[in-house]
Amino acid sequence: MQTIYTLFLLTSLLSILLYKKPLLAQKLGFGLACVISLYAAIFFFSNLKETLIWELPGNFISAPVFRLDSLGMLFSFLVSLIAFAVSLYSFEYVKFYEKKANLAVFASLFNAFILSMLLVIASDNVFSFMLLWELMTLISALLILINDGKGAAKNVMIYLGIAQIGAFCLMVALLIMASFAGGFEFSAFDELNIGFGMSMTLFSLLLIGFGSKAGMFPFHVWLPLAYCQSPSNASALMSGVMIKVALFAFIKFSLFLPQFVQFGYILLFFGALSCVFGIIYALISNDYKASIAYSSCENVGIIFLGLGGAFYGLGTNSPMIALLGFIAALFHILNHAIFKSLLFMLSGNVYTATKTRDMDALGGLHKKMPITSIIFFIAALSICALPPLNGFASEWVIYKTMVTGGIEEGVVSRFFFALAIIALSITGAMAIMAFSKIYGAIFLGIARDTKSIEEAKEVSFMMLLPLGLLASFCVGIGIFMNDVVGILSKIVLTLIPQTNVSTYGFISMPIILMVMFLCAILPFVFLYLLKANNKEVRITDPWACGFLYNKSMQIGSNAFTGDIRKALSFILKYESEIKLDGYFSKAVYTHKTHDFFWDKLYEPVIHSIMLIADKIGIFQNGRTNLYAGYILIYLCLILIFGYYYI
Amino acid sequence: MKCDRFIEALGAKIKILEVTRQCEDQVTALVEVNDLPEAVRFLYYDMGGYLSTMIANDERSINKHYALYYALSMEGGKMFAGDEIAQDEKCFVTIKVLISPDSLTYPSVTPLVPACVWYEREAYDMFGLVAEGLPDKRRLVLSDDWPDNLFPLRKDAMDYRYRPDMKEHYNEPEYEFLRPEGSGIIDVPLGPLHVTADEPGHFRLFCDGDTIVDADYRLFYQHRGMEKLAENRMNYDQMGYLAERVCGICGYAHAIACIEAAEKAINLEIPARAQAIRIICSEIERLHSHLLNIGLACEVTGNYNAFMHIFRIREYSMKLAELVTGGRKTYGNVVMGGLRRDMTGHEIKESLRILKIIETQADEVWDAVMDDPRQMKRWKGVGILDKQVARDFSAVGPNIRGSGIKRDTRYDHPYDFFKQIEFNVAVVEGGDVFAREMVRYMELKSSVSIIRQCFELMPQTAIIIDPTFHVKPEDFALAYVEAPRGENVHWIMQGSAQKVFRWRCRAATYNNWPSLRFQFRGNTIADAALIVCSLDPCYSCTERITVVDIKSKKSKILTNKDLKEFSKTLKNSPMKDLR
Amino acid sequence: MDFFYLLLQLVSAILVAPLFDGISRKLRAKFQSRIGPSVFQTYYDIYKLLKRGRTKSHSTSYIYQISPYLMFITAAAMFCALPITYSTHSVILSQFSDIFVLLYLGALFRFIFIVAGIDTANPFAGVSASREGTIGFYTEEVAVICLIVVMMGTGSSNLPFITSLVQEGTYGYAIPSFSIASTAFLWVMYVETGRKPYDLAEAEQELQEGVLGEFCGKDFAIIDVAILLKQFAVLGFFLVIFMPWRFEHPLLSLIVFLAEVGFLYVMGVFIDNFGPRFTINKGMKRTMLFALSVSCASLVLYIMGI
Repeated sequence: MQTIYTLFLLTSLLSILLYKKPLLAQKLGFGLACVISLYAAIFFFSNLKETLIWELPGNFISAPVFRLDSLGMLFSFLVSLIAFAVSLYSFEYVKFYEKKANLAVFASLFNAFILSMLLVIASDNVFSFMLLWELMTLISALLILINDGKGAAKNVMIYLGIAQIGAFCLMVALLIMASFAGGFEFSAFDELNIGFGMSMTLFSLLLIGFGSKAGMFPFHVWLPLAYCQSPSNASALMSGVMIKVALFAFIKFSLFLPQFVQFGYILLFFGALSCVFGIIYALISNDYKASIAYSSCENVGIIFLGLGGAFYGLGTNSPMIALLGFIAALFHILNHAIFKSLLFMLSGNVYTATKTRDMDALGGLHKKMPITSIIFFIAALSICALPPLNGFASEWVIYKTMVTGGIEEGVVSRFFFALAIIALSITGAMAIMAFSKIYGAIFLGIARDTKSIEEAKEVSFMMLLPLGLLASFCVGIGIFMNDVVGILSKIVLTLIPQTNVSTYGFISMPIILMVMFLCAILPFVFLYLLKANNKEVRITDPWACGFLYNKSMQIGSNAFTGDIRKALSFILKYESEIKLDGYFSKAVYTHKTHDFFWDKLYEPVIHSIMLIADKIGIFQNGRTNLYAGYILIYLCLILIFGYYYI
Repeated sequence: MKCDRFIEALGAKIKILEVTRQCEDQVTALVEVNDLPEAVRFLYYDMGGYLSTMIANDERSINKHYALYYALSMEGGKMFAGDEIAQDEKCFVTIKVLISPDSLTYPSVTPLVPACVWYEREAYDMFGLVAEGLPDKRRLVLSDDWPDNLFPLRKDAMDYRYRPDMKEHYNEPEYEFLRPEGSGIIDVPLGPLHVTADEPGHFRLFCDGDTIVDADYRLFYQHRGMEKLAENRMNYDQMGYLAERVCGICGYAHAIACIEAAEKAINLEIPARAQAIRIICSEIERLHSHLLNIGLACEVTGNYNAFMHIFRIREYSMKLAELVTGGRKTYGNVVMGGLRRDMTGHEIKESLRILKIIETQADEVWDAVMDDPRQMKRWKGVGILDKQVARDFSAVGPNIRGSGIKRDTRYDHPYDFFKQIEFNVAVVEGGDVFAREMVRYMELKSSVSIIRQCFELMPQTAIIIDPTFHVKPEDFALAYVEAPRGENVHWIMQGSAQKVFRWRCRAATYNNWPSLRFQFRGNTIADAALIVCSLDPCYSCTERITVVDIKSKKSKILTNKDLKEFSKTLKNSPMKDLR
Repeated sequence: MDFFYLLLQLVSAILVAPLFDGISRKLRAKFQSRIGPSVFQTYYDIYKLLKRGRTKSHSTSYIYQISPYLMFITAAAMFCALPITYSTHSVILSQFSDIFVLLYLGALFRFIFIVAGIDTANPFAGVSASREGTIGFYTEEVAVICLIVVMMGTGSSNLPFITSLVQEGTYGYAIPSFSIASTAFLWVMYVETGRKPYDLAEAEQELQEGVLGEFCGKDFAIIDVAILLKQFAVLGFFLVIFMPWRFEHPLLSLIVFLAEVGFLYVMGVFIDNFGPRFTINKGMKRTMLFALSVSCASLVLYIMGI
């Protein structure tokens, strides 16, 4: 285990040392990362049921112990698996950044980022956890900055700002827990003896802390900003696994608390909000990367729904629900990591080929990039949770959890579970619309702006290989759903040991596939028996009512969602305006969709902070005697406080 | 005399070069080219006029100039109660200007009076007269592949048989649409071939989702060059039949408008019985046209049931036409000086019986439609024509009456027998599709009553006077008829040898198109076809079709009966014995 | 044996569905004082389409080519998920016949419909695809709310199990929430059949059949059958939950089911023949809000434990 961490560290150092030879550094950095993470994935997967402990030699502030139990192993496996695919992809992909950044730095940061995530999962005391957590945030911020586009600095500041709010909450929560536990080691945190109020507070702090990192609503605002800004491989890693690390930590810490049923309700509520709002914004966005980023918020919401079921089960001592809930959440975490990183990498392919993120300029890319397109199709199907792919498998388990939870007597629990199912169904319907739009607008039809796809060509085999691999995971995990559930249930049983599990009453994906195959034969039989006309297809213009076809007649991403924007205008604050000068002029059409929570929640805060910062600036004007004055005032205050309180 | 008041008022502001009187209620004033916009604006807005038509004319053979005639119907602004000219003072005032063939330009009236926009665009297409300051200078009438600098209505432009080389449709130059600026808009084409558009016309809807942001259109797919065809080639009896073929629905209105223009120019009074039957025919036309339109207004919203039942009733109006004219439609009856066919007493009795059926059944279906809240929701608040827009663009017919403006040629300028008939002008406020359909329903009822009155008052005279008359070259006159869709205006300038020098035919819808853009805006794609429909589309019902085998280039003419028989039984395929 | 009967269930539905369509067309014509087509007209139509040549737009890609088959497969799989010729005794098939499988197969159908619409680059197909997605947004949650009541009431999402419970009478109309849910569910399933006044995605007068407008020949024939099958599947979805009528012998229950669903289909004429189509922004929203409130009422009743 240590070897893996060490190797990542060495690769990272090696790449930064080759500062002068960026191309070599890129080959070494990403190549090695690929090999190491493959090894790591195999290692973690084969040790899934073990618990490994590892102590850092030497003596820092406190002896840093690293510990991996089954759950940690699972997440480490996930990180390494995705890291393997992403680094394989990056090997070729980062060449597009040759001019923008030093590839050696990129490679070094990339490795360091993977390492930091792995260490966060493994860390076993408060100090190392917080340190590594902040390190992870910082490195990811630097990764975003690699692609220094317009407004990069501002976006990164928003990301860091929200991350800092989260980290602050975490710090407070962890310190309180540590004081109750009487030690900073996590092993001492078990069975904390605290009351309802305090544990609610701690739970909320943890939820804010990790939720903000995971992109939970209403902390989702940084998602599109950061992910659109960063290179696609970095967004793939961040969205695919960094979010999962936050979720892992959340599961880990909240299990230390004494369990109350309200935890479940809180999670269900925020999960429902998160998935509905996430998908709404994903649907109406015209930037495919922003859409995919917003859909992270949605999927985190879905995961929280699963977790909500689990915590409800723990709170009411119904192990079956808890078990199902944890399985559902972990299953969806696994699936989301796979298809989300896949989608981000695919969007990287599209961006490098077309240099635009505006879906209203794209179209018809399938003819230029057929393999990317087909993989995208699979990824879109699986993120929409359509059978028989993996997204459906995990959402089915979540539905199962909700139904099982809703049977229980009790108005409140029924209400929350019903709410969760409704949210999930709305999300499902809108996800269909969102991803069919994204896929259609990018790959199908004809180019809305012919310039965009002029120079597009299929990416190299090396870049397609990891994508194909992940796509096959999407299919494979879907089909072997019950086996995956079996493995996950064994891991969950280490968390809540007192129950049995059976997949009785589960659907069977192979049978669904079989029936679909059976149905697939029928049309051909009919066509054969009735001797259908098989003549060659004549190719024409699309039907434009007899008028000359024009490419602006094709529906675009924005017009596609016109109706739904209108229907949702009460949430979206959608405004449109037609300006006209006299009877005969061209109209000018402007429309804008406001992110309601950005306007109401963040904008005022940012505004006031700016204001305060301005005011503070007055104190800091560089005059030495004024600073001496500050020190004097401070000393006086200390003395007064000291006098009264000590 | 009528009209003098307006000429005096105009003379006080603008220098009038010459005043000529065509007939009792028509006066023409010649003004300087530069005074044109102000003269038209003054009559239009200050004196309460509506633009009836504008005629461009190539008079180089007469006075070495091109001429423009802006014909205004002086009837009052009608924007509010009392804003109307007294009934006996209503008349037509025409502003005429002469344009020198060297400059070919004149100041555009459109910036001051928006209603002129299409006329001025057409004047360029047909004559090459350039309106300085016209905000919209795109082609209107001629197709996009028509050669530049060939202005067909100039007398010396081309032989009427000339056909420029056609371009393949994919090589056609693209028409420049007024696409709104802004992102994320989809262009939805509606027509020329669209399920609900019976006539070919191309509407370009600029939509965000289902909402229409703006719209533009390209029409005149069926431009047949009829005005060119008539000039100097047809005598007045032939003109009537040509005018009927302008439209498949309100052809009769065109025929009488055209013939009456000629009759007016020579001050010919036709027998009272002929006048009465002309009115009966034009009201029958209104009956079936309005029934058709109400039916279609249901059909384009998807209400087939109502459509089918309304069409069942419409069949009775065709029967009525058969009794009056001998054909299922009202065509082929009008000649200079009267009519070709008289009615018998038995036919009148039978007609009255059918009128009763139409009246009761139309009431039943209309009540059923009104009781359907879903249908009402599709009609109400859709395609609103603002009152001011309607005023600015001189809209006509049910279109403007639905916006609460009491404008009806039968009422403003009663012609023929209408002076003796009582009827109410249907006016509904609101300006939406519902208001327009309501106007149509009320008119349908009043048509029934008008026909009944005509039958009752039927004068016992001859139906035609001896059409021996002589026309004076260079005389001209306007004639106007309230067709089902509004005022049809025909203008004829006599030529030598009993032929027409210039025939200007302005169908009702010509005045309704320019404001359509403002009716579209803000509605949904679903309503677009309905809005177009509520202006009243038209098509001709063909009695016979020709079957052509593309490969062998053989053809065969089928009768209605053959076709029906084959459709029912699928026996004796007409494709078998092509010749 | 189970699979044999399943195949029989599917094939017989495909064979019978056009007949019911023909009957409803004839009935509609009678309402409109027309003679109307023969009751076998839909068979003729499909047969004729099979013999026709095809055109396609130059913008299309593989999605256009495979989408008729994909639509057929999903519609057929949806129909197969209805437990008519099999029951809880069939261990294999009851792992397939699940409420969420059915719902998400319907979603898959919608996904393909939308993607195929965008692929043709036809403006009407695009708008039609957009509307289809929006309709999904309106209907999905109403359907799911009704189903929540049933699923939580019976404690399972397994269709054969629910059917048997309702048929035995251990769970059913004696429970108020169930009976209220049934009305809202029938409503929303009618919307899903895409018939007037809810045929917004294929609206003939506005969008000229929308997505379907770009298909022709045998592709269109397959889509026709797929849409008929989907309509039967969604009406059957209502029947198997809220009006199960199953017999011991699979053939007998199949015949009874087809008669039932055909009856519902033909009775749809009473709704779709009268009145105009809704618009997506006004009529659709308003009526679906009403359906939503009915379904929410049943959910509230369930939550209250009544």
